[in-house]
Amino acid sequence: MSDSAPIAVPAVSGAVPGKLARGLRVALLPIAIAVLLPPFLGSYYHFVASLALINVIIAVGLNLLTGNAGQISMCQASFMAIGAYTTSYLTTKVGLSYWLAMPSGGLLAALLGVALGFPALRFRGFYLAVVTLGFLEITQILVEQLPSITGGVRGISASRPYLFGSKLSNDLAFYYVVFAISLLGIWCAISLLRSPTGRAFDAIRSSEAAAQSLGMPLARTKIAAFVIAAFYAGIGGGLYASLVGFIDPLEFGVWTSIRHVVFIVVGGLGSVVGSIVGAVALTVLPELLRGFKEYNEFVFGSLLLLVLVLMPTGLVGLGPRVRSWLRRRADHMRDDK
Amino acid sequence: MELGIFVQLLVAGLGIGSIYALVALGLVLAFKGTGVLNFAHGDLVAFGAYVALFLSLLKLPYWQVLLGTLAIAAVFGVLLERTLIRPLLNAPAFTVVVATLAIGLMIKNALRLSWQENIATLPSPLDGVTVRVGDVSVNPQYFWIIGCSIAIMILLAVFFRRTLIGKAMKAVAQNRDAARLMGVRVNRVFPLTFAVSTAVAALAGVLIAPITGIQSEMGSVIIKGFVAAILGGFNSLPGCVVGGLVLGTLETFGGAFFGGTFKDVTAFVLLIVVLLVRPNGIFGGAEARRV
Amino acid sequence: MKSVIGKLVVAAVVATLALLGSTAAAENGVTNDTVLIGAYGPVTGPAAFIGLGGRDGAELALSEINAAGGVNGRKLKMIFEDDAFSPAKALASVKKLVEQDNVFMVLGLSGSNPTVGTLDYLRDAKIPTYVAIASAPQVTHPFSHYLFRGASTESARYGEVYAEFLTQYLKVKKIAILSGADENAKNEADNVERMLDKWYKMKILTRAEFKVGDKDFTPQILKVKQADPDIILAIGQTPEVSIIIKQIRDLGLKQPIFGGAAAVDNSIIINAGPAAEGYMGGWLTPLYLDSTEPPMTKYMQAYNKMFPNAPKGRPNLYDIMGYTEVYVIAEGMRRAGPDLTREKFVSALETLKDYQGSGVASPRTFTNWHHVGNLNQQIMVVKNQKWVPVAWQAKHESEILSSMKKQ
Repeated sequence: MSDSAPIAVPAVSGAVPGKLARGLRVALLPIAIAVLLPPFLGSYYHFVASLALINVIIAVGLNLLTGNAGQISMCQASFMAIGAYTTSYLTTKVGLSYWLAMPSGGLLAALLGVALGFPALRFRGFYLAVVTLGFLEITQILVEQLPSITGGVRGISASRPYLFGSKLSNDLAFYYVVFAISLLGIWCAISLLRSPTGRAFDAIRSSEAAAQSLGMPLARTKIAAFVIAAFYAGIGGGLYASLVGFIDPLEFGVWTSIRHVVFIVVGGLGSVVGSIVGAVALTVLPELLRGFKEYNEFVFGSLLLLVLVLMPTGLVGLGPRVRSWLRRRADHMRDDK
Repeated sequence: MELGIFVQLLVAGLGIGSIYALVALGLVLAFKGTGVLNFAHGDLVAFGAYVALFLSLLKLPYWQVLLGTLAIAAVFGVLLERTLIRPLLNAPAFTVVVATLAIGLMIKNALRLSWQENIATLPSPLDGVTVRVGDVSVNPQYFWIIGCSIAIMILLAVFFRRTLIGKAMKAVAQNRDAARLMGVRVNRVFPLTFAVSTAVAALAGVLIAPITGIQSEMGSVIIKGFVAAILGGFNSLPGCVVGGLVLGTLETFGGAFFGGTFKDVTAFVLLIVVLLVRPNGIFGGAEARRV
Repeated sequence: MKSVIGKLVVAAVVATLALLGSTAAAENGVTNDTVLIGAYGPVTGPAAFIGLGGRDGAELALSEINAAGGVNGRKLKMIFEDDAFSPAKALASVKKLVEQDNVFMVLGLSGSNPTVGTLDYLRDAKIPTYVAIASAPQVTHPFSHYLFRGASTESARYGEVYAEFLTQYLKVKKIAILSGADENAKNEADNVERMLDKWYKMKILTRAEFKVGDKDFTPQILKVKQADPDIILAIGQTPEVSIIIKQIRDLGLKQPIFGGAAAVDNSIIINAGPAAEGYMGGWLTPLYLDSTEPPMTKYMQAYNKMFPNAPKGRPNLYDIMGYTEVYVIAEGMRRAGPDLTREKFVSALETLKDYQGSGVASPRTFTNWHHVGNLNQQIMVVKNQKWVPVAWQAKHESEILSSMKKQ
């Protein structure tokens, strides 16, 4: 199999006003739908949509780390857990407002992302993957051994936040909050990728030796990537806890981390749009497969395989392929005349 | 700590370590021959155990069950390679890994739905036999496992170093296009590697089943196998065996000192310590990397 | 590229809507000839044996009830959703059942943590909820008019029954515990320790934990060996307990072994072989699956008729639990009368006293101040490689009800 060659990253060559404007115009349609459609649907849809957007946030963070900076991480779920438990602890036991607790969860996760970043400096590839697995195991042990904070294996309840005095028990209202936060996260990620840091990420991924020889601060950049991914996951975790209302430590195990990696591989490594598409598609798909009853996981696996075989660089590669196919059709039709 | 307890823990650790070694060997074999990290490997171990289970229902003698399982597994491996891996030949590494995960998921689901006993077992010629040396007891099945692991390790080492096909496999794993240019038939090497590594996985399943029982989750042993291979140095076959035994021992003593739920975390912490000292694992040489 | 992606997103949303149908105003799942029951449980993932059993057992009961004419002229229909043992997916399943499928009531066929994730929503939406399998206390405490627990018992009750059995029947004084770190086993073991201390002032000698998925338990068993107990409790899931029993005997310990409810299973006997002889555990229904008593043989006949190609290992405990609780639910509907509403249904359930929906069930009692349907457990022992009941019943009054009376 080919080495992890640089994946097609959306071409960014400084702020090109036309392209930016076009990007914004194109994004308007999905944003409009995401804002205007939900009031016509039931809370089941709001719930699933919120789950999808939370996964988008986590996937965007992970893709920055893995797809752009080229660092494998199998512990995105741990940072999610840290965000979730911190948020619920600060709101229920300490009485802090959710709007302070949730970012605190993200910050704590980011801090621990620094702790992970240091050993990660020394390792690459499989070795890095195993180190992150170790980190995952350590967080799970901590969760189990500190039941007064985390509820241990019995789990712990989390409640919806209050906004302007009223509780966001309504799934629609909470969805809009999640939507706003995810938009912010997406915008930050896109800006980051256009910034020098983003280019530093790309440099590290393509060739660490070359990057270093050009004077790039390797260690700082790598740690920054881990911190950012951890922060995103922590925010996602804080939102998740409140959305579901109950945190079960089994939700933050190795399989969840694997799911996060699958989101970005299916969506497209290195692409923010890929993270969005992958996370939304793979959160909604299991809901669509309910009709398959006990075979739904099998069907999910087979569809996943199909997508990977047809689009090895991710769903985000669909766009260019469809466009070039359309262009070829147009050329043929012109030639035929 | 009493000597008797120390020895018993050591024996238990080496025993469970031999399981990790056998799983790691199959995983590294697949990697050495194709460059693919096959995350379905654990579920292929489970597959082997279930195939043996079905065969043993036909009341066949153990040897026929074993050989039959290996044959079926080899065919299955070729089938997988032809239908599912072949189309991904030129895909990025991440895509292939996730694809193998998907395959593993499908295999696991199929096994889970076909046999719903919470735990099943495989009859083995060593059933009911316990070896006792003084105060210490050993399940003789472990001897079988470690014996097979070492035998496979030696066979594979000779194979990769001395035979033409073995060298061809290594070439394919390192650089497929260059290997093709040198006249290696990649289309033959891949299915062969998958056949052999699936058979090794199935062998692991048959050998560990009498100890651990058979259930659809038994493929989760791949994580430990992966860690064992990393500990030993990922591309090294002796590393798999040593890494597996060391991991099993570290775990067991960690469990004895800190409590059963801390087994995995002590193993991971010690693994990270080892890697900080030897970043490529115990036997891992510095690998030449494309810059 | 982005415009195509945008259009794809639109197409996906529209397709999703088309597939999942529009939202209707909430009805209550009752028509002139049908009552719609929504159920959820794991049919994928490692816990699939719970949901598969619960669902199929429920389907068997439903087919029998409908064949006999239904309830007050209505047939009962079940829509079952997979929750993959995840609280998030369980909540999504329940929301779908209540809002999209407009079910009359919800039947919980899942484990504790996923079930707890759904309770707030169901309680607030006033949906009658019958939890057949989960033992988490949140189902019945604090008391809610709409939440019921059936065949399963509270996790505290395991502790009460086992503590009484160990001290009063087996009369052991020195107890060591090996327990799993998963939620169910940990709860059982914690409650046993607590009740041994509270009721009988007995402290256990030592306790060692193990993780689900572990294959070797030598360190834990050696710790127990050093404590030299009269009896060893091995509380966990079947795969681990079957290895533990073998390893306990291999390491030379001869004490009897007592397990939790999850490990009363024929596969333990098959896997642990002769080492399993004398192994004891708690079982939630009066008869074991291979009992030759008429109610069980009748059940087996009916089961094999509906599921002729059932895989090995089925039916299991959860098949029985799903089966018996559907009968209880049907009785509640029958007592509510032909004009079936949710309020009437829950009030009717509260009139059940020692009701045995089928011959394989234990008696069910609900009142208007507690919805703890079952406090019975049958202790089983492996004798001659078969599970047989031990002739003993718990007599000590349960604290669960007495603590609720005081409210």
